Amino acid sequence: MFLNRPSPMKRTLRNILTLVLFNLVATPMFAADDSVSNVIVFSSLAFVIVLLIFLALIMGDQSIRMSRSTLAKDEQDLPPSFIPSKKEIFGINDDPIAGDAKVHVLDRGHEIKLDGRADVTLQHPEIKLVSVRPTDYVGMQPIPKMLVAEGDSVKIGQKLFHDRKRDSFFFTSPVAGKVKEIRRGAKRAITDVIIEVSKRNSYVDFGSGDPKSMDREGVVEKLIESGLWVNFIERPFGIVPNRSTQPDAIYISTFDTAPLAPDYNQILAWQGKEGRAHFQKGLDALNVLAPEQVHLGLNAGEQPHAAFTEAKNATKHWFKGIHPAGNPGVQLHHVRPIGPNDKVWTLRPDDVIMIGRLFETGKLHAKRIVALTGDCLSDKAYIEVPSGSSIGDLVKDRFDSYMATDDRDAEEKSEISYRMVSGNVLSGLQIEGEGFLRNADAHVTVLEEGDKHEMFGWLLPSYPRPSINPTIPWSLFSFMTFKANTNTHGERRAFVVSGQYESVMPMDLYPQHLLKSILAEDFESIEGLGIYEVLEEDLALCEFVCTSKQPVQETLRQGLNFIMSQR
Amino acid sequence: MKLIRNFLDRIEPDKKSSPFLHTLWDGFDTFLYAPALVTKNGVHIRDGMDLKRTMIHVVLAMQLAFIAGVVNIGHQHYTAFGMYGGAFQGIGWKFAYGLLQMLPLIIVVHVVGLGIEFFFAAKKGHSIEEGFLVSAFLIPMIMPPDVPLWMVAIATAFAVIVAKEAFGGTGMNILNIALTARVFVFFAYPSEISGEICWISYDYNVLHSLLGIKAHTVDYLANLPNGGVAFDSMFDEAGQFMANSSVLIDGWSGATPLGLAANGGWSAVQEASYTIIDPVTNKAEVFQQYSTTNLLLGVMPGSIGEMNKLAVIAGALILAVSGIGSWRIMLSMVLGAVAVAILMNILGETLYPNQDHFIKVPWYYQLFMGSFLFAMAFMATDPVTASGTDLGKLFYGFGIGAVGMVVRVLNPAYPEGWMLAILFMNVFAPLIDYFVLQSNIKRREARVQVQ
Repeated sequence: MFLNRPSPMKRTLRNILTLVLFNLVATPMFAADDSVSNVIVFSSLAFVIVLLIFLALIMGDQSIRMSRSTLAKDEQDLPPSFIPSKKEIFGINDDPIAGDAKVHVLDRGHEIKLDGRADVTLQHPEIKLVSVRPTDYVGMQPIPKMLVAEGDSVKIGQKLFHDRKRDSFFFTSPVAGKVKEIRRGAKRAITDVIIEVSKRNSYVDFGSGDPKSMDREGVVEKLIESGLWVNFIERPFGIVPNRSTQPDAIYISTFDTAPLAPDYNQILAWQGKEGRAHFQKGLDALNVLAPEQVHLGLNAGEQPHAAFTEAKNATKHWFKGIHPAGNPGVQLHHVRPIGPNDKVWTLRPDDVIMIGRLFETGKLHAKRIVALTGDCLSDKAYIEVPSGSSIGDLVKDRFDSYMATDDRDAEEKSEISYRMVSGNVLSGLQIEGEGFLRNADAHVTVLEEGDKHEMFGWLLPSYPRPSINPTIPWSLFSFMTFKANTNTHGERRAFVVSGQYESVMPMDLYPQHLLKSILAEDFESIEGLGIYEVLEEDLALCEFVCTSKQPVQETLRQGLNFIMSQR
Repeated sequence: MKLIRNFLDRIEPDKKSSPFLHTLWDGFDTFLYAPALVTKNGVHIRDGMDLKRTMIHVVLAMQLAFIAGVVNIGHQHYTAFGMYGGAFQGIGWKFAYGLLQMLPLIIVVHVVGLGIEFFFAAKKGHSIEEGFLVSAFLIPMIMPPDVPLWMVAIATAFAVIVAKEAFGGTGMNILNIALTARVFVFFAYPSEISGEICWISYDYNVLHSLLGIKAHTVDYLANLPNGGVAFDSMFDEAGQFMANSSVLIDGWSGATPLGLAANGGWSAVQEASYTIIDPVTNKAEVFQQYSTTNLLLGVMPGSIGEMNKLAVIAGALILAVSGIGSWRIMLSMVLGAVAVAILMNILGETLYPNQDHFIKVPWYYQLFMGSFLFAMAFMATDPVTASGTDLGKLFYGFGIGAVGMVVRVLNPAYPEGWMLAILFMNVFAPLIDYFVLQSNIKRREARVQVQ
């Protein structure tokens, strides 16, 4: 592209530039000024020229990269970059884990360093109650069609209810036991179907089979019948996919970078050889749904489990970076941007294992290894429980025993309450009472409520708190970890500060403008600014850093619903 | 601690029956205590930064420039009468004079501005927004020290109502509020904010009389060994200061360096000097009024805040490092101004080969005259009125630098341009953002289509 003769426009521009540069150099020579200012002029000129050359190089390089990224793979004959990488000059490989594979380095983001990571121990606490909740899924009708009644006994994998509009969405029982209560909320919408766990397991048999030898319809049928279908999240919009939808790709991120997130490598390690085989079998099944289009996102910053690195029938992509680098939305943005007509499904690694196990054994095995985290718990650990378990009592015991060792005075302690969050602190769901986990969550965070006034807290913060802003003194120390609470640290305001969201988003997006266009219901801008590429969890970090305390995720969901309603 | 908290909780007025009282209480309550609000679903923890803290840090970053400005008001005042010619002579009197001159200004701006803010907050049922904290400190800083208080009151009211509340309050405004106040004075009362006389404070206000500062000056002038001067001769019958008053020292002019440069080029700035006769030895001493050091330390007439360049640069650094002010805007504004100033220098060599002219003032001195640095640090970086995109900020800053320098040098009436340049680019900021966003949209569309 550089060999072509430049256009007249470019030539004129070049001539003008030459003239200006010549003048710049010539002026001080003819000026009858003292020598000191000449030195200043010359040195700053030299600086400006070096800067200009540098800028031109960088901009040229960037434009090559950009034009290259718009070409299809086999047409990419341009060199990837003018400027040789460290690998090319010195032979140093920054990412030995990824080997020769390309690593997407995501340099923006923010790691919220919280206290209370789960210890690497696996416990098997006894769970009494389990709930299956229609409200955990986007787009469900508020009153599903019930297939069981209170008092019925159910087997593992038995259908409990299905959506009224789309009767292919079956929700099945993760445990064997008795339906204790069908709880209703506002307008008689069903919020919980609570099952009392019995000691004896009995399974519904779905029949084992090798997915490789099955056709698409067979795999779909099995997933829908067993209730594992609802674990698929379809992007855009984050909904449960329709039965007839043919996904363009299925994407699995094998690591979670959210604060205190569970370590999937460890979870895989506990499941042993069997887990590894099941993961592979799950991938095989997904490969039937989306042939050649199963993608794995791997962490180049930490050695992933062999099940991930040696997985077959999946394209691997390597990523390096801090949160939100582990989010499938962020990774997809770099390897397969989602347009308005795309359908990309995402899954978590433990969902894949469940699918593999279903095909291997013919039974639903809806147990998850859940990371129990939070700075105000004693005995933080991984627990293996059925999905949707009630963990309220468990958390209360551990919170009380932590408080017994806490050295604050009794009056202060009596005022402390805690919050259970199913999921991470950024995009999790607050759970109360019995504390039923969300069906898809492998993470619980417990943190103190921050419902206390703080004298001059806005000017002189009295205890450490996480922040991206250097005016909060603790943010300057990278070794600090924080006991965070749920205080908002300020009141809600209109958008004032700009550039803040972008500084933590490793995506080529303008979240603040996206949110503004959602508030204005400007359909074209919402579409253009990339709403199809994001879900709530991807913008969660923006909500955390927001100086104006805006409800970013809520607004984004409004926008997603608005676009969905227009299609 | 608990006592105050309990007291505040006890006296909380009812929001419905007395909204005004409740707004006032809420403002005081949230000033004293960070509220006990907790997150709902969405994120469960929040960053420790909020808007109050953001705004107070801008005000804190301004304080060095404010103190330097206050001392300089006193310095200019006393030097004009031949008192305390050295920079550190009588610095206490200078500081006291300057502070008392500033205080009524600050109080008036706060009372008028916060009053309106409070009225609208109560009317709309939201809490008092802290955006005006910064504006209320900026408005006095960009006024001439002698500006009449009623004028500032009207200008502040105009700015807050028309530039801010009409658009919906903090975060919604298009124009910089402080600059709107100044531009109001500039167009409504041009004689108060341009020319030679307005940039030095000669008068005494009630506070000066009450606290004996006026008496101090009168005594000092009357008891000079060389016979003394009659203080009364400074003012005409209406009590207005006379610019040609005989008590002013030899060669004294209140013209700013920019004013001099506009008329006589760079040499006029360098030649400006005044003579002070030492009261004890009776020896005359000639001072260069605008030496490079004086320009740097802000020992010159002008608006209050813009004086001390080192203090302003320190403020700019605080803002840039803390991420509260955008370094992109600051950097590109300097680049824009430098580029145009160099272009002007080159043009000047061709247009006026053998005479001194404003256009030929060396570009590096252009940066240290007038309010360039102050505008860069505190005005252009206002996040609400600036471009909202990182790339847009570069264009926005460059635009201010370039337009401002053009207005300063080529405008025949008023040798300064940052106020108008920033307001001009404020209006264009959404357009810049529009183009940046469109390019982003196109870029990502192309990526999606390739798949």
